[in-house]
Amino acid sequence: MPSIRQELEATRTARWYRHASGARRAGAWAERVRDYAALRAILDGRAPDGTVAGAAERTARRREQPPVQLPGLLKLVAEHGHYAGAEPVYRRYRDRQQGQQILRLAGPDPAVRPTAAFLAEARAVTFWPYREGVIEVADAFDMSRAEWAAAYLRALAAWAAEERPLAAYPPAGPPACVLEDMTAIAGAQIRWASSSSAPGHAERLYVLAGDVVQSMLNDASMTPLGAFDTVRDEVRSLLSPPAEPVAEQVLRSAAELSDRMLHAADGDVVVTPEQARRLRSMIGGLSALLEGVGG
Amino acid sequence: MTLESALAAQEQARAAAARLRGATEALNVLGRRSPADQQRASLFAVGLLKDAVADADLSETGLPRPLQAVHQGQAVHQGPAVHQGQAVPQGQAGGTAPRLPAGHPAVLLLARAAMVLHTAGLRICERPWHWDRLARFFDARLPPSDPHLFRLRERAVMSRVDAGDTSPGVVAALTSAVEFHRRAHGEEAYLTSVATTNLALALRQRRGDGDLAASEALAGKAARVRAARYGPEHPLTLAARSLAALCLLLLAEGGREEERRRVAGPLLAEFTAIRAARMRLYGSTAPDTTRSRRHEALALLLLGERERARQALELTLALEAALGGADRAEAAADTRLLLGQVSRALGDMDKALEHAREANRIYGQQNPRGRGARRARRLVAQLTAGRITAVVTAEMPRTRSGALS
Repeated sequence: MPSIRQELEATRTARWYRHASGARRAGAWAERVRDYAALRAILDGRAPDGTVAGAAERTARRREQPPVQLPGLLKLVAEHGHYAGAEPVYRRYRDRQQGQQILRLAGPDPAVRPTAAFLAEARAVTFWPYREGVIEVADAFDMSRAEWAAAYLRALAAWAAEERPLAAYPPAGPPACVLEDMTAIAGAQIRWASSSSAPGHAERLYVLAGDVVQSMLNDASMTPLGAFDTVRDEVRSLLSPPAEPVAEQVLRSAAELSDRMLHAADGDVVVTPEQARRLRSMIGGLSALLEGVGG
Repeated sequence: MTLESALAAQEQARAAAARLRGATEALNVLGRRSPADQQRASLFAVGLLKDAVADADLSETGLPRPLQAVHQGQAVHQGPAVHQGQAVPQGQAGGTAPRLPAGHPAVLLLARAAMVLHTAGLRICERPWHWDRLARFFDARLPPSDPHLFRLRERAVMSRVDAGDTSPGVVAALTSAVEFHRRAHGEEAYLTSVATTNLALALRQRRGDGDLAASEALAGKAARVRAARYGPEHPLTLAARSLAALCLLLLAEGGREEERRRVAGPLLAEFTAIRAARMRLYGSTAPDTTRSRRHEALALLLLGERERARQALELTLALEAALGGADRAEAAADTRLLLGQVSRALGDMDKALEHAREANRIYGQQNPRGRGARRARRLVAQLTAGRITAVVTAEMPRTRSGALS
């Protein structure tokens, strides 16, 4: 079974990102990076009605990020990026992509307008390094699925804090790649989930990711931990095995551990001395309690 | 430098910082792992810092030196320096990520995460020194008004509170933190609420005249604000609810019998509700959940149900001993101290002395100048004095009248 890291490296957006940012397309990629930087600069300096933000507006934003929606966004990007005209920018994000070295992330669907395609790409690309940082640590520490989700959602919150106007631009929310990633993290192959429930879990996790982003936008002082805490309970319940009677869980685990200890191959360390100490301590307390159970 | 190359360098620096932020948030999740994993994560974080930061001696931070093996496992963030947050050309480094100035927010936040993990393995009384050192490192690199630096200093102050320091300077710093966040973010903002609870914690710890009532008022207010904004079972709401209930319990302990009986039932229900919520949030053996069990035992004692309280404390102790770690060692000492008091009340003096001595030993190691250490020493002294009297009473010859000679 592939690891979560391998699954995350194989998503559609991950493949697109590797292709687009590869050395062979360095010139085309640099133009895109210039577009995203122009977008960031435009959004940072604008009030919700599109006018240049004043001091009062900037003060208010310290508490809550209002959505900023700008007509003719790609034209503004072209102007800010000092392109000769808006056409080269539009061309990159239109559904027809003839002659483009890098195809747009949104694909050829004509229903996705150039501005929406551009915004979706900007969100994914600005979030990408946060995602890479999570993958590096989570994989090194062999995180559980619940830990992966916690790390990912906290990093998403950090992205929303840093890219507040972009995250708030209608329709506000996380980058589209989050749904693919949550599918990998929820895992279609996990033993307690049927193959039909994992996609449902992924969709729900995506909704929760939206809640995390919204928490960051609603309160400028919100921290990634605080934002994740608003959904922690549900994330944990989605990614943990279904509850069974606790006594049964203990019995099952004790039996499994005993089997492994009895039948360990030479050189296998089933229980470390530290784990053995902790177990003895726990079992001692439990035994004292069990003495009080009748029958 | 052309406009294009300047822009590219700026974007590379931004991406390097973002990658560090992602790694930082993932490392923060490891704070709920075992003590050994936390130490490994701390070394990993220091390795990331070493590779990411330009021109800074990280030994000044109070963080550990990364192990070679950990460091070699990280093949990222090597590259040329970016000074004062500005872009510089990539030069010969071609394609590698740029280094960041030591005062960059992403660096500070990673260093903070590394320190949280590192200090989890240190004695509680040693932690303030490390936090102060880290704060000084960034004091020299950031303006005093920097919000990240301000929060780092708050964390350093709270490490003093954890170690039992509630001196006027500490309380003044926490009071000014509440004002700072109120002005910057508003009365109901997240960080204002966190700062309010920090102040309430310090007042509860200090227990001067009116401190418990003031602490209860602050925590109660924070709990109401948080319940309205984030829901009654948000972890931050639970922390404030728990603190408010604990203050009420401590106030009732010093009150009349009828008052104790009146509040004990509702307080037990509140602590049980908090424990149930924490079990859902963190799991049944997590430190927060276990702490709630100890609070339930306190409420049982207030109700006069000593035997049930003893059982609850024995379970708490078993879990704390099973989990290990410095924080949990001090929690185990708190539980031992309570068990000593309960055992004494139940007439089991041997058990009481055993628990009191063990509490005294742990406090002596972890935090010898804290309030718990003083209470443990006092209990040991009381129990030992009683024991000497008992021995003397049993062994001394009596007069015919039965009076002690």
